Amino acid sequence: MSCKVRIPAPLRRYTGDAAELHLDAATVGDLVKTIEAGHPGFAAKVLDDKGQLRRFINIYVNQEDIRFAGGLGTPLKDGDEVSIIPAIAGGDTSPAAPVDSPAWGR
Amino acid sequence: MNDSAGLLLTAAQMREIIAHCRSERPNEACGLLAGRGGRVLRVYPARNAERSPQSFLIHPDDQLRAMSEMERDGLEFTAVYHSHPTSDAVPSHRDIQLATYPEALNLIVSLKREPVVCRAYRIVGGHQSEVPLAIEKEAPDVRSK
Repeated sequence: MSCKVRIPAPLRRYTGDAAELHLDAATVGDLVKTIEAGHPGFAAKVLDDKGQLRRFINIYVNQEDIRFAGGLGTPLKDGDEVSIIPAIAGGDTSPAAPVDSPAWGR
Repeated sequence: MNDSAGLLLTAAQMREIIAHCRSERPNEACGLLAGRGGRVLRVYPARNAERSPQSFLIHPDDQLRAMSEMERDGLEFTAVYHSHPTSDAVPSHRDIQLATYPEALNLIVSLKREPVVCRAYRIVGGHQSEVPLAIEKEAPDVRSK
């Protein structure tokens, strides 16, 4: 079950500059583990300490946001296209709540 | 990435961006700009998922759609634009902290007073520096690549 994974520029430093990976995985969570196996450190940029998707990371399977599908358990099938997309955010003033600083920055 | 060059837009593109920013007031407006070598060829207005006068989060569906189209058409992710409805066109602490795409410049539109003020910045690694913002009159033909 080979999937095409699109890696955006901010995360390529963790994939050896690869912009695209072709991997086999049964679910999105398995896919992250598979990428981590080949590129140690990648998972920490996508998942938080509890293993959940970071607030400012979005993962799409084809055109569907996995937060509205099965989360990290979203099944993958042959030919699926997975896009990992760091969010784009900012604002006029600092929010009252602490900002969850993106782990891929700096 | 064009380190020395700034952002080049047509007057029509700039009008579209400012109109979008005004239409979203009092909330912040946001969007993506695509092009080549700092010249903007396409404007992608996006939904502000936070619908806030003090913050923006580009709706991820809009982000995916725009970035997929850029990739398909061989365009660069030139810049992010957003408005500051009541403050100056200067990156806020949050703008700097959350800047995630180092290849993209940041265009800020201040609606604090008329006429509106637009300024462009490069924000990398927690540091911001202003870059030139140029407006040209004639629209390039986007279809002739």
